[in-house]
Amino acid sequence: MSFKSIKDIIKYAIEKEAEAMNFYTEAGKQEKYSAGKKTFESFANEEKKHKTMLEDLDPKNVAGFNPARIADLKRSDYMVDITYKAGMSYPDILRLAMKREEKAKKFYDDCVGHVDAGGHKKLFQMLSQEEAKHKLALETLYDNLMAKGGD
Amino acid sequence: MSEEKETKAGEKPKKPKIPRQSMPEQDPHKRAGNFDSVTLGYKMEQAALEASRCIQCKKPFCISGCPVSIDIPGFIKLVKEKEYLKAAQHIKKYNLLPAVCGRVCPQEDQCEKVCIVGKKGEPVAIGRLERFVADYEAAHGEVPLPELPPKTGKKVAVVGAGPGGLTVAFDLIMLGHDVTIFEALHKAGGVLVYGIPEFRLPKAIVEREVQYLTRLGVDLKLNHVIGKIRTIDQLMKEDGFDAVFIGSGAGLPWFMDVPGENLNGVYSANEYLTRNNLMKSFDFPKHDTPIKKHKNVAVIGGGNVAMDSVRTALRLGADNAYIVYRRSRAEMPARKEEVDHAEHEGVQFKNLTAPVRVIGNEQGWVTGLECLKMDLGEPDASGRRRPVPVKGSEFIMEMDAVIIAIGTSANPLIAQTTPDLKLNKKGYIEVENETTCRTSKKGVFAGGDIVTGSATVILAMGAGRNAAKSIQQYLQTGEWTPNGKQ
Amino acid sequence: MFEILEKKVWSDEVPKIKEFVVKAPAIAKAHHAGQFIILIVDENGERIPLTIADKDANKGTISILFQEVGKSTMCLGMLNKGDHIHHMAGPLGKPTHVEKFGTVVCVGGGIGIAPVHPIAKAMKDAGNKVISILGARSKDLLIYEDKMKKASHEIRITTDDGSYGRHGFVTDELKHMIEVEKIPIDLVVVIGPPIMMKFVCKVTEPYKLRTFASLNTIMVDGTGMCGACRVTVGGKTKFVCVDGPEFDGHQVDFEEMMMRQRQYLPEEKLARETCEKQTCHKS
Repeated sequence: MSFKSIKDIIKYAIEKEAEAMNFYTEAGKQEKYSAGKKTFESFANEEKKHKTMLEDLDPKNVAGFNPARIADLKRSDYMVDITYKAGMSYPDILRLAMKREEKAKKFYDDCVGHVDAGGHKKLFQMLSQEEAKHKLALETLYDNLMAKGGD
Repeated sequence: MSEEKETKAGEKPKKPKIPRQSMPEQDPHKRAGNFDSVTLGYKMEQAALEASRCIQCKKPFCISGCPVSIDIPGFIKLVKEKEYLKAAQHIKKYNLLPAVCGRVCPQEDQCEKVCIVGKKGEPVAIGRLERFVADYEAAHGEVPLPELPPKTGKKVAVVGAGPGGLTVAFDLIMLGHDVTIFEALHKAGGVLVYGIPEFRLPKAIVEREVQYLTRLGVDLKLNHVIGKIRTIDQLMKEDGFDAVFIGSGAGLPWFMDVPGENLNGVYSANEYLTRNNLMKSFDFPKHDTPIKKHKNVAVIGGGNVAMDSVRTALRLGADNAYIVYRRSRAEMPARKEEVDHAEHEGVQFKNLTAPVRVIGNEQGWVTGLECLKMDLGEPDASGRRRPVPVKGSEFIMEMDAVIIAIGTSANPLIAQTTPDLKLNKKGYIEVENETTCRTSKKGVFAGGDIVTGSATVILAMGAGRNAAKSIQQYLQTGEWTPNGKQ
Repeated sequence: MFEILEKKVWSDEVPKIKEFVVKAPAIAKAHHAGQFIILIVDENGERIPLTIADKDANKGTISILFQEVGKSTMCLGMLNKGDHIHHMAGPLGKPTHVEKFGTVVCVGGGIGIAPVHPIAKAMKDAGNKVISILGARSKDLLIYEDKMKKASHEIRITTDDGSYGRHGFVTDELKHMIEVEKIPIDLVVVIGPPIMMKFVCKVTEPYKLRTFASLNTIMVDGTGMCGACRVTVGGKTKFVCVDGPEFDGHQVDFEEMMMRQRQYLPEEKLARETCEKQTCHKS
């Protein structure tokens, strides 16, 4: 994948967030029971927030970005991949979402390794960090749930 | 030190302190090879001595520490006076299952945690005393039945004969209602019969307590899977039940979603325990349900169910029985007593260890478990240090069975056939609050694991107690206005 | 306790095939095609899943058909008319998805013909054209021919030894229908030994011909609690007792399922031998 400008990259990232938002919205619509519906709706909302954040991002601010260290619980990393099926259980929904964030983060990390230009690198780092935050949030939710079950 | 001085300087001359009476136990090495009770219960003198440690507080905290509010000082006083039968009858006014609760309740987190005697020393052994009186009563002939009030003509259906359902049934039959319990399995007791092993809770005790309920007139229908043979709507519209309590308990086991989980030799704790406890497969082939006798067994998880599974594996003859737990010992949800018992019996603990893959041979049998070492990371926003994998720390343990005890989801059968029953996002039944136990469906109440997710026996009983009160109120008034509003 | 009202021995050749009509009014009333029961022969017995082969809701009876392959089914087979089965829970599992598909082919292999029967009946009642393929090792082992005739518009029979119908397997007949006769088929339902179901699914897969397979895995409670019955369907673990027993056959990992079914073979052998040696505790 080649990106010409910072704007292109941001545009691509916005599309990815929109795709995720649609995915969760559609999944929510397909759920017969209130439980799954609610979870997917809340995830769709999260993605919408990410999308808005990117839309409001001023490319000028990218250069000044300094990556912070985001903890990685790596709960998702050792799990088998999972695809959406109507009527999934709550932990499965969390796993699905974690995997999506893991893949998104990995994608931006790969991009970081493939570009030289300082500005582009910074932007990819920034995007990766956002995904890392989402991943941590979901993994924390999952970790809390599983800790209660005694895992 | 200052406390001791104070005591000496006090006006009342103090009797010499009686230590908390320890309960005799079967020798750890011997018991690891049998399914007999681990703890043996107080002798009569011991019980009276322990009871004399209770200072009969004017405002007893222990009662509020008990989810079913047993009059603890009241029954202990009777034990001290050696009125053991009266003590048992006194408890039974509050709690249908004293012999069960005396064994499996986490008293250290409830009544005994707030015991005043415990502030300056060790708390009164309330649980052991409860167990003693219940066992004493059982050993001394048939328990007399309390007098029942006249019939109200109201009919209540209870779904599930676990601790929650049994409590609801008991409370409502004592109020004069007709109660029918629908149990999916062929034995009543729920987790008490399929989950908790014989060595912690002899099944004869559960049977006895269930029998007491049927003697009181509760109609127990076994082999009735509600949601399948009858729906909740059919119970209410066609079968004439005025109210329904759903206490159907835990559902499908969670797996880890790591590779190799469907290999032969990987079990859910529910399967392993159900085979052994409900189906008595330790006695195979005398009982028809088989169980494998594995040599190296890993149990994943740190809760009570994990401890029950690993101790069962030892008793079935495992050379090495491990607990593999991704967190540290301090975080284990299991009762300390159970963890200690497991350790004394020879269970090996692999804490801060997370399984990442189950390895199998060509025939599809488990041969190993690949794990990662974990480290506690930096505290997060909630101040909690979560385990994170240590890079490159993968190692393989030789194993021929892996038992997964990391929790369960909600059973889907009732929800699937009751579309107007609201569920929360985790799939559990949504109730108005813990006190009313009202669901989104008029006349339908719920409590226990199907509402909260995996919890304890006594919490389910507490929910049952609350639900019974709420059902009584509904049956008397016919009102269904949440919090009096709407 | 569930009373046995009728007993029929379909085959006396070992392993014997027998059928009971059992009084179980509540189960008969609630039953839909595709569902099963769990029974326990006596207090020391294990919980065994069996599919309901027929029912009479008015009389309050259900029919169960079984082959004496293990100790439990052997002990069950020793019961006679008037005896009682200690426990029976059901109906369990999700009912078959029945609607007007068009032409439905119901494939039953061996004693799998029995559980196919209510499904064929329901499909016919829903307005489908039902063609059934019944497979058996030989003519003597063929069951439910008359009932299937009634439940279908047309039946076709195959035997492994050629003693009746087409000499060959159900897959041969199905292939012939698709490739030679070019019958437009909208749905295939298959029940039988796993290996047979696997090959039926292989036949229909290239034609993207929708195929339901009803799975019979090891179960303990059968009510969605233990997970012993798990299978991989479309890459995801499913529980036969509550998510099934019927699944999209093209998504089922039959190899894994067969591997999991072999888990207790040594124990089953031991139980059978003990049972044969010391007359059964359930006589």
